[in-house]
Amino acid sequence: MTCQDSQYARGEPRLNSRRWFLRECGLGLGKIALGTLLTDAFAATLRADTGPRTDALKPRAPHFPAKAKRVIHLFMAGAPSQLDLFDYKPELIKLAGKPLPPSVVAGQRYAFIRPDAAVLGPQFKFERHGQSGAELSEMLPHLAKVVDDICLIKSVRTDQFNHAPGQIFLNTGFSQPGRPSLGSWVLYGLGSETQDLPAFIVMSTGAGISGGSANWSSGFMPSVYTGVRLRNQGDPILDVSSPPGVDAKLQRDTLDMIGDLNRARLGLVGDPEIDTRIASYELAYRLQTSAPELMDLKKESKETLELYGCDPEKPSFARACLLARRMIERGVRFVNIYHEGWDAHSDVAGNLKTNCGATDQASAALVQDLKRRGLLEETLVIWGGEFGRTPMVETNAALGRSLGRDHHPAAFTMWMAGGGIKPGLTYGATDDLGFQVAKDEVHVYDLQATILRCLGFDHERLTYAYQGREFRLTDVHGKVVENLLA
Amino acid sequence: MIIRRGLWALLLTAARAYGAADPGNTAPAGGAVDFLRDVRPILASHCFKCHGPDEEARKAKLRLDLRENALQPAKSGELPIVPGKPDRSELVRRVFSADENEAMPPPAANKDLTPDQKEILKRWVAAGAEYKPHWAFVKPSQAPPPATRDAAWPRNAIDQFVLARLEREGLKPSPRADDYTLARRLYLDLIGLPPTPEQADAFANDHAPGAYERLVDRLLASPHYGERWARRWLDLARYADTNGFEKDRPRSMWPWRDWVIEALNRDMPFDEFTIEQMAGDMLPQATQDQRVATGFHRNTMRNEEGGIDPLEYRFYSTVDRVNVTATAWLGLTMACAQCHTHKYDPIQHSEYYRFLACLNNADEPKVEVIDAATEAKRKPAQAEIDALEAALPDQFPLPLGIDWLTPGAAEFASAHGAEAELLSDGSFRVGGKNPEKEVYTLTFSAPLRRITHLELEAIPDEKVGKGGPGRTEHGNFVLSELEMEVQETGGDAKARRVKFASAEADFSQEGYPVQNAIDGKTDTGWGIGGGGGGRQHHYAIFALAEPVELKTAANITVRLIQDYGSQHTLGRFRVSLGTEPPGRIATAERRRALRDEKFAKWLRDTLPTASDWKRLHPAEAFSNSPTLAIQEDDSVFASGDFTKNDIYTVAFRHLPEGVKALRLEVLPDDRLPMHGPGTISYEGPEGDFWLSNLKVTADGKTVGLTNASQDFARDNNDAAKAIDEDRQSGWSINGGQGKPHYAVFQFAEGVAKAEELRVELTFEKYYAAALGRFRVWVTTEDRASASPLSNEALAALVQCRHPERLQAILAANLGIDARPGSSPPAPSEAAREKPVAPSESGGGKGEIPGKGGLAASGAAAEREILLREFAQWSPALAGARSEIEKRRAELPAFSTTLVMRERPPGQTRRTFRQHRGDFLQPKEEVAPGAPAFLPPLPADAPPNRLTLARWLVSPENPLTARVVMNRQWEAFFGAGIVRTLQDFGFQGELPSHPELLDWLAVEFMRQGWSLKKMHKLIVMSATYQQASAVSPALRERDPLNALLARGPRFRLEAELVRDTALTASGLLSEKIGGPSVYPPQPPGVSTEGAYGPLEWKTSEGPDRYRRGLYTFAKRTAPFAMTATFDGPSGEACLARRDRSDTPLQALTLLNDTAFLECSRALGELAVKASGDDAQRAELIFRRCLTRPPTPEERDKLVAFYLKQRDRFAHGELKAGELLNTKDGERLNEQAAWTTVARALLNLDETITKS
Repeated sequence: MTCQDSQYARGEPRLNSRRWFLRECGLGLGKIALGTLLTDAFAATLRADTGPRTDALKPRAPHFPAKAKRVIHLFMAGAPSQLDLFDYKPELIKLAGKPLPPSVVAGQRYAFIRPDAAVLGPQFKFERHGQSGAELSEMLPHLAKVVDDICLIKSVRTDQFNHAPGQIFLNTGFSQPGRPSLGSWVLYGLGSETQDLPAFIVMSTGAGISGGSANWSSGFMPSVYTGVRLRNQGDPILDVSSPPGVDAKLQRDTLDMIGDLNRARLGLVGDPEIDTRIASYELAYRLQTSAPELMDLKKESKETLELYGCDPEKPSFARACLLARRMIERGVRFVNIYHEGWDAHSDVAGNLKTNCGATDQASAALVQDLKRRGLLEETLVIWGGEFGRTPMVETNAALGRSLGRDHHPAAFTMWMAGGGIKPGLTYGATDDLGFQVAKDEVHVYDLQATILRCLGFDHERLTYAYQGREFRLTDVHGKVVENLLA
Repeated sequence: MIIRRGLWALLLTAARAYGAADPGNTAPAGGAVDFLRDVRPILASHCFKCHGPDEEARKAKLRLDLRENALQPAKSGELPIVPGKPDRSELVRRVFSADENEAMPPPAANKDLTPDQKEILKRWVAAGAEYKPHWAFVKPSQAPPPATRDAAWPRNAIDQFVLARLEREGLKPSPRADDYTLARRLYLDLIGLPPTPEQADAFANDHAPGAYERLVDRLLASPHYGERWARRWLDLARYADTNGFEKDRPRSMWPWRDWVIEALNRDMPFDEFTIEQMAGDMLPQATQDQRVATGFHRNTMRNEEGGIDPLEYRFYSTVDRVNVTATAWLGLTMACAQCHTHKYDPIQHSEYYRFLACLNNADEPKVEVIDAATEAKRKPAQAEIDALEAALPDQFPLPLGIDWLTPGAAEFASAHGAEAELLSDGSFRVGGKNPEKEVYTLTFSAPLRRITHLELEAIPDEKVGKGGPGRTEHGNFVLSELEMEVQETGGDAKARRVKFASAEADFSQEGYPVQNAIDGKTDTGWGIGGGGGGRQHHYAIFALAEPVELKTAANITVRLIQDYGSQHTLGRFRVSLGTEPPGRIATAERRRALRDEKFAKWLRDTLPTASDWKRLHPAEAFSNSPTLAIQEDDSVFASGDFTKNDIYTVAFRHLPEGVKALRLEVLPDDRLPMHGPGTISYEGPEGDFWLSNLKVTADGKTVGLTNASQDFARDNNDAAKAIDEDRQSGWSINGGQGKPHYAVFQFAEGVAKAEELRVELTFEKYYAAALGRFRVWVTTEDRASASPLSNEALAALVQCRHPERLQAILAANLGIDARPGSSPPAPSEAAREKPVAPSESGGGKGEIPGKGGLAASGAAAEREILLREFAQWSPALAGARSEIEKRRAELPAFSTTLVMRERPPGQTRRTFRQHRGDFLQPKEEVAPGAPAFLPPLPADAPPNRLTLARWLVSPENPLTARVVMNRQWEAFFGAGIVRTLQDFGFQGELPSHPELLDWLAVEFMRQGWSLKKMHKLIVMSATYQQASAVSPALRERDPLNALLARGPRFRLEAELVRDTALTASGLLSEKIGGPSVYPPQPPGVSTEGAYGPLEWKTSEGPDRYRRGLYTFAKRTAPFAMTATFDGPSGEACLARRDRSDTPLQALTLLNDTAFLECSRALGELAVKASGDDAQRAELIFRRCLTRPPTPEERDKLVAFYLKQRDRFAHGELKAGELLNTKDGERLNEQAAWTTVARALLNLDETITKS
């Protein structure tokens, strides 16, 4: 039984009160589905859950009991250099300046360089850290402090070697726009736990995001599963502030007036959609309070702000990480933070200095902060880009480039923490040149399957019917990497 | 369990949920089993994956989708189905088997059958296992509309089908909606705009018979009809104004969008509408409109990210075209067959690529759209430019023949502290303090009694800054204004200002013509920077409007105002005055004399740089991918598929002996982007190219290349970069598109004799950057270098090597106007007496100079060519040329749009089956064709895009008319007769009213594919005109209104929500078509986090209030309001929009600037209206909701108004803030009405069609 159904089953359509609606319905605030969604979405919801429902965001249980309930995905868009941050290859020092053998580079497509480009050695010193002894570059001093809480995966592989398709592929399992993103799948599968905030929030702190809004689109799923942008300028959520000249009382009066007239109409025409509209206006009103409350970092201690390295007034990656923690605390299901700018076609060392400077402290602080608040166990943190970078140098006088690295889909590093992922583990390995995966390959599909597994889903059974077939995040691929699970 | 698809399943589900009775569809529990309704869905979703059409996936050689196969023994020897004998049928045994190893589907497949489903299969086999073809794959026929018990209700055939069904279900239709509801419904449905209260009243008060039909006809004839229905087509076409992906740059595609609006307004028959969009370019004598129509399939995205493989993304575009065609016309989920044979529908993997092959043979250019209005503006402007250009040689600046005097003792004064020293030549050298701006004042005694001119010379000087003549680092200055005063001495004559009539300079910087110094404005001026100018002696001569005649001695004051800033001041200069004695020869002749003097010098100077070039005819030309076609003029034209590493090889035979240099001429061509000469069309500069490497071999031996030169290169990308070691460097001509350019490469050692010369051009870049058209020339002469001169000028120049010829050319025409277009000039006496010897060189225009007049007239023609060329290069004419350039730049440009262009015969692109749909894995080649389960392409037509287009709308095609009619139905009723608009295959839902859908489909074709006629038919039906109010009982019985016992009621689409608010407030601009616009949206939407940011320059004026379909659509960062209300991003084809209801929508309507502006406008309308508060309330209520308010509603609004008015009056609220203005009377009232309007615009009813 759902709220609307039961309401009308009682035959009292006019007896709809706001309070009843909000109390009885597990309404999420991101978006509320209409009854009409019955046709498409509901005929195709989870196998475990077959009854007709009118609320696409109602909290639901996954296939299996799960540790992770929420996700914070730190998307390092542009693709950081694994060879200078995580995957130390002394062999490259020896080979520096010489081309790699054709047998190694054959068959690989590049964006900018020629396959015979010379090798570029690691740009930074590496050291082992923590009890796990995981190896990290000196560019990640903060991550080094929490290295025993994270799991490094050095053997990730993707199919895409350009940014937009690479990002869209990592998020949606398909290189072209049009399919639901990871966050949408998670919302579709688990529903929302918050009534005061959108359940899937997207922040951006670097340069622009190559893949654009396709990265957080719900694709062919109902638009209620689309990520909502939290913005750095103007209202954090579009139009969340009342217009100039409208005070709180006028806003309340106006909503009451709208509600009154809508209810009168409902009485006459009996369309339950009007009920949904009345509810969404009330939720909008609440959002006008909850959004500023979320953004207000005054209640955070000085110690916390310093831990993240966050200036509460200025948009930054650090502030986004702190906001992400606050969102998680308020029941937001999926948070995406895009930090774009890692695309080091030139001066990879300088690029890493800048970007690690902007992200290392806050990424580590997020893990540490979640852990000490007891949130890490239920929160899966994902860190990484859309692909890696070549062991070969990118140099191009005509483009003014030197000492850079090109796109490399064959092997790169990501890390995950919390949410049922084994801490202190370094998983997978590349060959001596850091070119190919040598051990325990984790294809993007496998990564997606594993992430869904952390959230309690069998990726083969989390399906959505569209255009005559059951779609999956992992298409027809992917296997759960059991060894990553705690 | 799985929820079964099909209407009955949904109703069943609903019935179960609500505990109500089954609405009347046959339930499988008792009656006969129907193959299509009951059996086929089970087989499709549980069995076909392994026992269906896909041969590769088929297990046990068992195929269940075809009866004859299902009756044959399987691999095991067992008979899967024995009709009438379920106990002997292996299929039945296996589905009921409890043995894990035997049970079907296998437990591992997670496809378990329910007991009901097993029972259905058993009963079906028992009843004879009859198969029926899928309803949608059988050509529709028009069954007579059924008779109904209530004969009065139906108004047309639609109603008979609907009512018959309702009567079967024991239901009754709802009463007819009231007039206001109907008017609003019709307006919103047919033109997408709500009626004004007056329009609604006109209908409500029209009691004459046929009032409703008259309104329908009027709306169908409205030009807004096309706008409303175009937007729905745009969803399918994935229209947007940017390219998508990372860069997401703007594109001009709106001419296609306007074509759609226009076609719909004209009610172009849907079959033509289809053919022109699919293949308008292939129609005989295709018109421009028909070509523009092919933009439908150019709405695909374009990835401009650096380093992508362009062919990979072209493949994706083509795949997208297949999928969109299948969705929009056929209602087929063909996309499934991209990677493998369709699991459910009978589409083979190879058939997917056969279909793709039909669409795979076009090039994809951007073209100009020639429109009459622009052309009418261009014509006179172009004529003026042509005239100016022709007159150029006569514009030679020249006031010589003037007696000049430089005052030897002038006083210098500076306004800002510079000091100056008077030198012996009468010039000043300025030094000392170097202020940003200056005014120099010179005072001296008049040296002449008659003054007609003033000359200012700017003189380079090592002691001035870095060398002068100006005091900036680069030597430039800007003379903002020149002033001159004369004061006669003695008496009390006042100083009088002298007016200048004209100014000429030997050189003016682009944008800084010398006329600026006497235009009375100090924010313009004369400068000498840029190409052709700089650190040289320059002069400007200013002619006085009236000669100054002095009777007595006089003092002259000259002010040089230099207001530009950044020390753009003169460092060394000289001022002289001149007298032009009366009675000198006419100016035109003097100009010509000087010009001819300069021309002669130029000829002599240029002569040594001209080599005698011989054009080579290519014997063959080929490349790695693009097609190279040898043209009649010996040029090579490239087309087809360009890659990031294209290599052209061109071979030449019949060479002269002793070739010492090669000249590469790159040519513009209208078929190329920006008219070429390059083919760059994405990521890099359009129309440019990047020649990374040039290699020449003579009979197989590499020829060393050296001393590269070019006429033009941007930055350091010069021709030398094409022969250096660095493959990443290259020659490019960005900024020089649309013109020919030349590069010359000398041979390190001459090629004495060779059979064949091979030229290999490599274009390697992180984007495709090949040349589009080029020619090769060689010379046997030493020291050849590139010249910017045209081929004919070069040839003429070579003629000048003969002194007689040079003499003739210099002498030809002397004194006769040589303007092109005037009659051929008579050869001069001198030329006639001295014939020029024939040329010995092989170059030239192939003209053989004869004797006497012929030779002379040849010389005259050559002189004209050379003179024109000289006018293009002479620094003295730079000012005149910059004026021409300016006008050229100001020519109104034609709009552009993207089109398909079928490749010429012989250049057919080959199509292969791509293993797993992977671009990198082509398998066997496939021929174009249609899937076998549909009618074949006609045998008597070539299997191509045009034939496919015609096939789509052939009466034999079972799908198109049904799919299109179903989509129209959805637009009016909120759901299709087949609810899965995009899937008419086996997995799609069954139609709720199959006979009605078929009747409509056939009627559509019978009515000549007229959408307007079908729209009229639908809205004329009683079904459509029902009230939408629903009783709890009916809602429980049929929550989705599948049976149509009531009228439609649903939220408007995003654009219509906005259009409604704009119409209600009176702000709407009714302009149709044109470039997309930028209405207000919150800051940062199109820039923040967007890789390709788009500065959202909010439109002002009417463009701020255009209909939603004209809002600029950026794919990676869509317009906020549209996205919030479920509008598409344009990244994928969308058959049906979602209709969500979210708090974010509430926030938009409540708080967004655009809607606030509508509230304000309504507030203003209210306050300006006559009548009392109740009447004002009614006015704005009706503008938003059409119908009159109930008394309660009106009272509530008035009470709300009074309450807010008091708050404004008491200063609790500020009217100025809400209204964003302090001007006007009764601002408090206006503000209070604005708050009322704001509430009204947020009502559910305002944004709902009911």
